[in-house]
Order: sequence, then structure tokens, then C-alpha cells
Amino acid sequence: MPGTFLWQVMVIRPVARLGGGPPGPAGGDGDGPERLEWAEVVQRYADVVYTMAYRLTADDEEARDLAQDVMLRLHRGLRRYRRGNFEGWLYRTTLNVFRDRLRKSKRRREEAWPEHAAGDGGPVAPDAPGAEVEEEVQRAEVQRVVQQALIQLPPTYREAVVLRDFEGRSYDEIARILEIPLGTVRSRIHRGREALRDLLEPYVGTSS
Amino acid sequence: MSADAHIDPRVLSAHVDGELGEGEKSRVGAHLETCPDCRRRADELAGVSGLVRQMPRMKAPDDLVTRLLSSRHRTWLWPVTGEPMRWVAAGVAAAAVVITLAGPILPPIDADLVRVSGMIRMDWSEPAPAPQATGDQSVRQIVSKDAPSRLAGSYRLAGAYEMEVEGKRAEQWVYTDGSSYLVVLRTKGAFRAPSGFQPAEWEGKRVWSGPHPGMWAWEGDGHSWLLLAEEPAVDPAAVVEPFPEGRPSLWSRLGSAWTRMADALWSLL
Repeated sequence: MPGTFLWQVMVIRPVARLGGGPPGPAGGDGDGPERLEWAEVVQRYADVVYTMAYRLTADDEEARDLAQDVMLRLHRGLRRYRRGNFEGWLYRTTLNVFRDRLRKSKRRREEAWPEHAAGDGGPVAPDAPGAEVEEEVQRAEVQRVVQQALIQLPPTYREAVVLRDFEGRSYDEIARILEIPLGTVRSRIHRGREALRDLLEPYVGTSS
Repeated sequence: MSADAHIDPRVLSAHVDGELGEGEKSRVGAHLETCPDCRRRADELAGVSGLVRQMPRMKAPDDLVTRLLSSRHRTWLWPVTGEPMRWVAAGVAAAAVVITLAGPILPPIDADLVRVSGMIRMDWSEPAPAPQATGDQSVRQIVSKDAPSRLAGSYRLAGAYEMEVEGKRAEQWVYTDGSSYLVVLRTKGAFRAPSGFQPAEWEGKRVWSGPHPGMWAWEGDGHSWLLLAEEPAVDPAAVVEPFPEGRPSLWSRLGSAWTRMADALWSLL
């Protein structure tokens, strides 16, 4: 009998809202105005999470899944959330999910991230008139190349560069988010940039 | 002389970012004045940084946002022995009946509140095999007179279900506080502890702790009971009281493994 016991795991999806209305329980649990509403979190941060996920993966489907995982983790943690560094939590969660998925996908297939991805550089205005079209096309091309270069970085460098240059976080913040010393932040960012410089050589030189 | 004193490239990167302290900053600045090599490197690093910085922000796909806003996805567990579970939905009750019976504690519930979107088998006794989803089924809600509805704090009864597992009737109650769930499951007879369950004790009472924090089993009323708490670190005072004789301080030991497992299941979908 012991040894072969099976758990049936059911994944159940409520199709109507539970309880409805605001989550204010009768007793109230003292979170007060610092409490974040779920809808507000979605409106404010879904784009941030999705964009970051896309920058890290260069794949729309992967970015969706990642963003969804992240948002649901936030949802689950929201109840425990007290006034604090929400964005730090958001970034940390995003990177945790990113790493989990990376590990899993590595196990599943040894190949690297998909080389091809549609619309890499993000939205491009399709009906830009005249000469602007060319400029627009060129910009989109650069963005595509940069995005592809980003995902060729080792994940740890990629995270650091995205947090720094894309999200504009300070070294201190990055150290806290990644839970690494400041010196490591410096070297990861730097190494990431050096690798990018090699990958993007023709584009880096444009100004000099 | 100045060739020896080339700036550590990491410092150069930090300089480009304006992340150096005053002392270091002026030292690096002075060096850059006189060293074209380092200047060129710094320019390159700034160029790379600029390329990443000009990447556009994107909008999350609408369908993702809609899904996030409207649905809540949850995972729960059933204990089953042997074959894949066959289940029988038993009984339906209108929301009105639910409300009448249970009074104001119950939120209004639609009769088909819940839809099962997949079933996964897992063997906890070994490294878990890859679970498989086995298709959709609808679950109907029932009302059970003897739902353990003694509630404390913010958890409210959100649903009562009944099913047949291997010819055996099982009842389940689901509680929610709006963001997390507790599931209490009851079947007749003694509890046959599967592997992964450890005997434990709570104030002289025999219980079992499950393979995940937040999972407990005990016997009482001629039934075996199973508690699954989704939320780690549930405040014991804010929890339904499924222990007939009192409230288990064991719950304070609820950890994060349950959440982790739910996450893992999640990502399978």
C-alpha cells in the first residue's frame, strides 16, 4: 500500500468571481490604505512586466507566459503585501520566474532561445510617410539586432543590463533586487556591456 | 605612466552610469582627460548602454490583461488511490439555497462556479513524474448541511462539493478570503496515511503532516479529514476551524512549499 499512493491534482478555474466586491473581510486585517488593489496592480504593472519579460526572452509567447506567472505570484502575495518597495518585489519576482522557466526549458530542450522572433523591436508604425519610413525601418532593425544580442548574453548579465539600461535602476537597487554585492553588480553590468559591444560592433561605432 | 594606470573597466562602466562616488569620479575624470584609450572604451560602453536604453516600451497584450483581471486560477489536491479518479458530480443547488442555508457568511455563488480544467496524477513517493492533464470536466456545487462553517477571521465558505472517488463519497469545502484558498476534504473511515505523511501530534491529538506545509490530516467524527491551505503562513486566527477540538498551533509552521508547488503546477498549464 505505501509507496504507490497517488495524488490527483485538480486544477480548478473559477469562472465566476468568488465573493465579488472588495476583499474587505468583516474583521479587517489592518492593512489600511497601503493595500494595493489587484486591478490597479494589473493596470499599472502588466506592461512593465510584459516588456521586461520580452526583453529577457525575445519571444512573445514566452513573455506572455512569464508575465502571467509573475502577475499571479504577485496576486497571491498581495494579501501579505505591506507598504514597501513594490517595484523591487516586482522585479525580483519577474527574475525568479524567468530563472525558473529558463531552468525548466533548458531541461526540456538543450537548444537556446528561439533565434527568430516576430516584431522584435516592438511596435513599428506601419504607415509612416515618405523618408520617415526608411528611418523607421532602420530603427526597427537596430532594435531587432539589439534584442537578439541581449538574449545571447548569459542570463545573469542579461538581467543586470536589462535592470540597468532598460529599467533604469540604480546599482544600489539592482544589488538589492538581485541580492548580490555592489561589486558584483558592477562587474555583471560591465561584462554584459562588453559582450554586447562585441555583438553590436557596427552599431556602437556610429557616433564616433 | 598613464598606461599603467588605465581604469578598471568595471569602474569605467560605473562611471558612464554616474555611479561613482565623488573621489573616484574625479580620479576617473582626470584620467579620461589624458587617456584616449580609456575615453574610447568609455564611449563604447556609453554607446552600448544607449542602444539598450532606446528600446521601446511595449504594451501587454490585451487578452493577457483581460485574463489577469477577470480570472483567478487555483490548484487543489485530492487524495486518490490507484486508478485515475472517476468522479461523479452529485447534486446541484441554486445560489439562493446556498445563501438561505448558510446565512450572511456566504458570498453569492453561481451554481457552476468551478470548472475543472485538468487532472494531474502525481506520485509523491518518488521524484514526481511529469504530470499529465486529462481533460475538462464540470463540477457542480452542492450544499452540505454539516459544512464545517465555524469561521474565524476573514475566511468565508466559498463552495461545497461532493463527489465519488473509487466508489467512496468525499466532501469538500472551499474557503477563501478573497485571495487565497483553504480546502477541507472529508471521507468516511480511518485515514490511511500515504507516503509523504508523517505522524505528528498536536496537544495529545494524533495528526499527520503532509508532504507540503499547509497540508494536514487527522481523524474525527468517524471521518478522515484533510486540510490544504494555499496560503503559506496563514494566520491561525484567520482560519476555519476544522479540528473539532481546537485550533492547531501546527499551522503556524505553514511554509512556502505549498506555494512553490502550486506555482509549479501552474506553469504546467
